Formats: sequence, structure tokens, C-alpha cells
Amino acid sequence: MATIVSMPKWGLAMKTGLIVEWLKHPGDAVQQGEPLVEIESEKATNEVDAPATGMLRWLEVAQGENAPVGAALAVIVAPGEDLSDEQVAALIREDAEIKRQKAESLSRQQPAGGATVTGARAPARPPVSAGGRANASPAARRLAQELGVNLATVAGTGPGGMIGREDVLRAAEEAKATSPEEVEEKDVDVGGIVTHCLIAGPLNAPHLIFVHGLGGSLATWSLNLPVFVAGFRICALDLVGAGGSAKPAIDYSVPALARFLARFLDALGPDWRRVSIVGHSLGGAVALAFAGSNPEQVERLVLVDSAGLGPEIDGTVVSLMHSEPTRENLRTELTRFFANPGLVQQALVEQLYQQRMQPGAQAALVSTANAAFGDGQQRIDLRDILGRLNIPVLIVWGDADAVIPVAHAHEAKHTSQGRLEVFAESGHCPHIERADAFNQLVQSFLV
Amino acid sequence: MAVAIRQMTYAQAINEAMRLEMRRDPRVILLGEDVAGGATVTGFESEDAWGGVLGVTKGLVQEFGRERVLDTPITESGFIGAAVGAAATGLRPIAELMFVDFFGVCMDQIFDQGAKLRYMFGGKASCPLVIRTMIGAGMGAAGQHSGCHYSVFTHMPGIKTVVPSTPADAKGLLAAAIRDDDLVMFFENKMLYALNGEVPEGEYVIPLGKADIKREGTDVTIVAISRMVHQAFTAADTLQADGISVEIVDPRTLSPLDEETILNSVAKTHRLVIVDEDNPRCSAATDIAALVVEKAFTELDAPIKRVTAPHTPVPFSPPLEQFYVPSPERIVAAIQEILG
Repeated sequence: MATIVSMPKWGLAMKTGLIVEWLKHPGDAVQQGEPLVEIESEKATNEVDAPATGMLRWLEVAQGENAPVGAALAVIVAPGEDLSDEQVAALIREDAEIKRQKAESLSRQQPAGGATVTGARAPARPPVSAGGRANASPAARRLAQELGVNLATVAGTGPGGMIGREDVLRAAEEAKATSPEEVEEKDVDVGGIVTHCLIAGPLNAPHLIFVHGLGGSLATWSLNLPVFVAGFRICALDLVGAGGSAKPAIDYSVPALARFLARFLDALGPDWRRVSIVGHSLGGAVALAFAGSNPEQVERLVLVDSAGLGPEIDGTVVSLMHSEPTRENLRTELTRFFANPGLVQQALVEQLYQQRMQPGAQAALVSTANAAFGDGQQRIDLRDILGRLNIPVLIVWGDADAVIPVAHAHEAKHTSQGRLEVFAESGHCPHIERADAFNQLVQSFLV
Repeated sequence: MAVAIRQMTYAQAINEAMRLEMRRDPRVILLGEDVAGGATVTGFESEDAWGGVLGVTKGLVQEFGRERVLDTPITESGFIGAAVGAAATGLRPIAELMFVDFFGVCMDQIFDQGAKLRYMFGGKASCPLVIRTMIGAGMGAAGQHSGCHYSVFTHMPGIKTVVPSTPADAKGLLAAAIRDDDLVMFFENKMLYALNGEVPEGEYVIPLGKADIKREGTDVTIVAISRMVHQAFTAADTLQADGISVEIVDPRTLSPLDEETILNSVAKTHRLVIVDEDNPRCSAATDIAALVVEKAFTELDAPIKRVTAPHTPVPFSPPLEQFYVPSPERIVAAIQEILG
């Protein structure tokens, strides 16, 4: 069966990419995972690996040309497969149509967001019952679904603040007026520490923070942010010492990072005084520690394969982080993170390599790792905080996590009021490996 | 051909329907306590017979004679049973159960005999019987002469229940009830007997099972039963001043129930208030609320409200009796509550 190579999407802001160089040519044999094409986006140049083994049959976009994200770039045919030019053209047309329909249905399903109604009768916050379910009439619920309005963003003016049809109609109108497409990438000054972050989404939607894990950056949320931006005001940050943020020689312990997160939210402004947080791995521990010291600031918490919930940790990953950041080491390190090693593409390795090579990056990483982990054990235990928290907590885990065992999730379930979802066929990063299901689950938990 | 319309009362319209049907079909007879009164009895020729306790059957005995207008002893168990038997054997009786509150003594005849005849005999028998009966509080007639209880009969399979709210509906629905081949309970709200309204002359039949939109509106639907239609009108006038547009649906018959008209109205207004003078538990109001929740849940933009009598017998005390019947004020309050 023929395989279509498409323009990848690196990060939330990427809209198009430039074909810098085709590393293979029509007629060449290609192996799955072998570098195929070099692509340049606004921010990075990366190689894209062949998604399948076979023969490169067709180039749809020539070297030096631009193409939008998702567009077909080339066709690889299976060994022995014979396709006429007409068949190739038909395949590409079909692919474009499927993508168009998918995008359409996605935009229908996705909450369109929308501004909170202001006015004398509008309550300050959208009405949400104790169970976290929006207080909306059945007719409003149906209409919201039809119009793609996120009820969590709608203020009710019906009996007892219930959201009615008119409230939904008004929110849909206002959502049309505000564009959730606006993505703001900026550096925030957090007490002298330049902090790189990405902010997007409707201003009056619920505010949501994404905190990445050890050795990562906000790029870890590439497959998630474009979905959440529709119904939430989102901010994904690079923690101090990581990604595009400053890397001073400071205390990188989890409590210190949690204090940093608090100062970062202060710096973002009063709109971010009350947020929900999604934290991955060490970012989960940071989020949990933050929630423990600032419970009034956290609405809901999502912990993804989180640190801090048990003593075990994969020693290989930790020691790889201490070693020299060669592409080879990084590839080995990344492989530990996924159930499906095919996901570790050259582009991902390259992206991580560029990050780790930044001045101070390796030192900050080692400091962070040493503060959190040692002797093959986690040094930080936040289970008592989880047990004390009086807010809705969603614990998400990959069942094949080789970095932090899924047993921590099952145990955490018993010690807290939290809800647990374990994803099959996923390693340490279910938000990447099972992105669609993850996005759906977390959205429904948050609204 | 244009039909002449006259003004007449609810009581007169009922009387006219019976008169016209008795002229039309010799099998139609009328029986009950005091339906003839003293008229035509030897020695009482000069008496102006009552024609029923409130005069609704006045004049019928003079036109149709003692053979077809029968005064019965004060024994509901006896004459309702006789009416069921007469219906099963070829007549089309109208029996008058003076106050519905008396149904207990003749329930076997109604429920276990009349209502089940067609079913028990595999469709080979039927019971073309109309039981007319008075309902409603407001006359200081106390707990044993003031109930509504149409919900009890609506609950029972094999019985049609008719609850007219206007003189015209009373005439048209009673004609249809008399022509119907099954047992029909015809509930006359005594507080409406003196109500005047336009009534078509001559033959006028309204099919059973067709609701009537008594007032069109867009913001909220009131389903109002019998006299409550008029309470709903007063409430709607009050709300109109605030710019709230009320639609009033009169089901006219509770069994069969015109579900479609109710559901369509709710689909238009997205809000429902049911006004019912009967007691609230297992009632017509509750049944209609369940219907709408089941079949039009996603049309609802607010909780359904029922404005009903309390779960008590009708009190004798006039101030309490006034409080007992759903008032326009209570209807207005219910609507304001669901409009937020």
C-alpha cells in the first residue's frame, strides 16, 4: 500500500514549511526511519524520516517550495507496488479530501470557546456544579454541541444562573468576534529570569497551564495545544533551565521550581491567579508541589506519568541525562520514553539536541535531575500532598511507561480522590503517543 | 355555509349537545339523580323541574319523556351499573354521576366492567357510555363535593377522559363523546357553568384527542386543564405587560392525549408550566411532565414547573379553598422562576 508523506507540524505556531532538500529522489529505495527530506519552519530546520519502507514514487512538492502543514509532500509505494501517475494523483486528491473532512469535523466537535457574557445579570464565573459539570439546560447543552460552544466558557442567566439557549447563542456570537487563532509567543521576566512561553486561546476561557518534564520543553505539548486552544486560554512554559528560558545556576529542586511557577503566574498577571494545570513527569511533581502550597490558585490538576508518587525511576534515563548529549545518546534516551520506538524520529532527536546544546542547558538539566533523583530512586515524595488536595485531580499514565512505573498511578488512586486513566500502548508520554484520546479525556475532565 | 354563532353558557352548551344527540339518535338516553326532577310526574305537572342539581339537564325530560330521561335512586352503584349494562346491550346512555367524588361507590362498574368490556370480549362487545360528572373547587362545597380526580380515570386503560374549558368545547366534545363507542368520562367544572362564550349552532363535533392552542406565544408554554385555562389567561395577560409571551395549550382530552401539539409547543418555547387543579401525585400534570422529559428533553431550556392543588382534599374554609386552587399569581410566579 502506498504511503503519503505529509508536511509535519512542529509546534503550535507552525503553519507552513519549506522543502530545503529532498535527501531521496523518485525511484530511490527508502527504509522506514531513514532521513527523507529536510524541512525548514520559522524556527527550526529538521530532517523528516521516511514513514514507510519501499520506493519513493512521487514528489508533490519540489525542493525550494513551501507547503502548508498537513499537505502531501511525496508518495512512497510498497516494494513491488506499481502505481500510474493518474493513480498517484487520485491518491493525493483523496488524501487532501480526507484531511479536509477531518479538520472540518474536528472544528465542529471542538468547542469554539467564546467570551463570557458580561452584563448586570451575568455571574462572575460560569456556573459549574460541585461535580464540575456546567449548569446548563438540556436545550442549551444540545445547542452548545451543535454550535461547538464550550459550556465552561458561558455565563448563565437562567434560573439559578443556569445556562440557557440564549446564553449559548450569545457566546457563539461573541466567539465569532474573538479569534482564538491568535498565538502569542513571548519571554516573561520572572524576577530577572527570562521565561519563554506560549499563550493562546480566548481571553475569557478557563486558564490552563502546561508544565513539561525533565529534559523537555513546551514542545512536548505540540500535539495537544492546538486542540486545547479552542476552549481554553492556554499557557505552556519552558521551566527555568529548560527550552528557551534562562538557565542560571540556581536551586533546581522541585520545591524551588514550584516557587518559580508561582512567580511566573504572578508575572503573567491577575488573569492567571486561578488556573488548572497539566504537568508531565517532573512537571507533574512541580504542579503538585505548587498546588500543595497554593491550593486556592488551582482549579483542577492533571498529572501525566508524574514524578513524586513513588520511589521507583528508570536509572537508565537518569544516567543518560548525565552523559554527554550526543545525538546517539539522545536517541537512546528518547526511546525509553515511548512504547512505539518508531515515534523517535530524526526531527525529534535533532530538536532535543539543539536544546541541550544551548549554553547552561546541560548543567541545569543535571542540577534538576540530581535534586529530584539519585541512587536510582526518586528523592521527592508528594503523595501526602496529593492525599490532602481538595480539588479534582486526573491521573493519566501510559501502561507501558518504562521511566516511572504505572504502579504509582494505581497506588495514587487509592490515596486520593483523584480519577485515574491508564492508556494502553503508551509509554511515558501518553499525551504524544495517544494524543487524540488524551486531548479528549483531559478536555472532558476540565469542563 | 356559514355557521351561526350564539353566546351561551357552558351549562347551556352541554344541555344543547345532549338535546341534539338525543334528537339525532333514539338510542341515547339520560339517567341520574334528579336529572328529570319533578317534571311530568302525576300531581307535579305544574312544577318547574330542576333538571339536575344545577339545572344542566333542564327541559330534556319535557322533550324526550320519562322513557329516555330517567331519575334514579341515590345509588350510584345501581344506576351506573345499569348504564354499563344498557350500553353493552345496544343503548348509548349518558349517566350523570353528580360529583366525581362519589366515584368510589361505583368504581367496579366503571373500571372493572365498563372500561374492560371491549378488552374482555375480544372486541365483540363495547360500552358506548358517557358518564358526565361535576368537578372543581370554589363553591364552598367542601371535601366530598369539590375534587377533580380526572387523573384517576386517565390512569385507567379503556376510559376516555374529557375536560372541556369553554362552552364551545363542551358542546363539541360532548357530542363526540356520545357518538364514541367506548366509555367516556366527561368532566364538567361547576365553576364554569355560568361562563359565557360563543358556540356554533347545530351539529358541532370536536374529535377526541385533539388539543387546542388557546393562545399563541413564544416564551413559555402553559398546558392548562379545564378551568385552569382561564387562570392561565389571566396570568398570561399579567406577563404580557412584562414582555413575556405565553402560549396556552388546552389538551381538552387527557385520554387520548394529543402529545404532538404539546411537544410542538415546547419545541417552540422551550419552557413548560403545567396548571392542573387535580392533586399533584400520579396526576395528569405529572404525566405530561414525564412525556415532555422523555420525548423532548433536549428542547427544554428550564425545569418543567407544575402548578397544582396541594396533596390534600379540598378544604371547606373559603380562604383555604381559594388558596387550594392554582391562582394566576402562582402561575406568574412559576413562570418568572423558570425564566430566571
